[in-house]
Amino acid sequence: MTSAPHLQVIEGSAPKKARPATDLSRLGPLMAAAQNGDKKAYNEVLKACDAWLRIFLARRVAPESIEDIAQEALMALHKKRHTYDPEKPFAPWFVAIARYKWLDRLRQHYRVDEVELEDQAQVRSHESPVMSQILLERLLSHIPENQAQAIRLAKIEGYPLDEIAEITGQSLSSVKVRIHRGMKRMMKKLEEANA
Amino acid sequence: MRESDTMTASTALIDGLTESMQPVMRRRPGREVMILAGIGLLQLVGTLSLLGGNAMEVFSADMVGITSKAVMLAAATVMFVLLAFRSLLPTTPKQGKLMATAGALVMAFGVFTLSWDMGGSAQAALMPHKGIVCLLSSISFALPMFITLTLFMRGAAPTQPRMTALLIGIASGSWGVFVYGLQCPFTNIAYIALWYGGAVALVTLAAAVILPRFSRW
Repeated sequence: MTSAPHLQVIEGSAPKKARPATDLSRLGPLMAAAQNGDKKAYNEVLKACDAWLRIFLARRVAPESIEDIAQEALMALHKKRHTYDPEKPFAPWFVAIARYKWLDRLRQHYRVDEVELEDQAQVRSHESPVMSQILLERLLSHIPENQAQAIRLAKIEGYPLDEIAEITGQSLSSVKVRIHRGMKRMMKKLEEANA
Repeated sequence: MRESDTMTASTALIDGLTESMQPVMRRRPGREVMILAGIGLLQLVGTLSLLGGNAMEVFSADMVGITSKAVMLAAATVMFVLLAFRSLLPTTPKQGKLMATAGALVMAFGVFTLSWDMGGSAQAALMPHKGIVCLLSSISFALPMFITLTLFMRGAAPTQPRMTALLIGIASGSWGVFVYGLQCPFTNIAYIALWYGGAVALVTLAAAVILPRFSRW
């Protein structure tokens, strides 16, 4: 005789799926406790945000810039921690700050690039690209081809401006204008895409 | 940089921030609105108590015209103050369209309610000698709101500082011309556009130049 299959009732709720360390949605109550002076909660918030930032930035900036921007974003979180409203979710608040710091850094680099372009005509640039090549290529597809070509030659292939002028058959000032306009469009596109 | 170096630098920063962390008083936008309203009310009462006689005369001479002008400027102030407060939150999306809509509503209201009587000449319509006084007085009347909103901006986390600066400039400028306009008898559209609009534009320009440097990140 075969016995019926035995069904065992397990008390309690189903086991919870472990949340990843980078999950920002659980940080609201911890941040609220941190605002009241709970250092342990604050440490946990900072660690989770740091882990999240590294993933967020890895797809957006060159590897050597990740550390600086991540630290700037953590400093911003620290300075502006009083502006977090515990009645609202934590993730959008922190993501907005991280995104701001990232775009701010890109803007700063863009301004530096603008100044450097003035002196770059005779000297081949060896500086590492600010944005990762993948992101750059994606952005380049959204701007006119003549601007994209000038940026590709200057920023990816590292040609000096006078050589770019020769390659493209344009004047030096025209190359500068194309790079300037292209970079501006790319920044705008980047901001729109992340708004 | 090696991964271990990165982790060390990052861990050191996190430990440092944790160690230096103190309890903070949360930003309360509702309380800031009340403070701003209180300052505005005090300024209004103070101004009217000094210039109240003029205001009564001005209103009794052209009740409809002056009331329309006051309503238009008060509405502009309220709309742009609200947009400025909204922009102080880091999560607020771009407000360009809302800003344009608010501006268009104010202008449409002005076009339909202000006087089109130009008095026969540009000189008569624009009255430069009085207009300059109007412009400078309006700018000075804008200062209390400008300073208060600047302080609120420093304490908040605006992720679009330029937009916030523009909104603060327009809100403060509108408030300045509203307070001045209560005892200003002119309601023709050219005068309002040039001198009142000029005051708002100058305050906004000052805000756009100065305020982004004041956002403390």
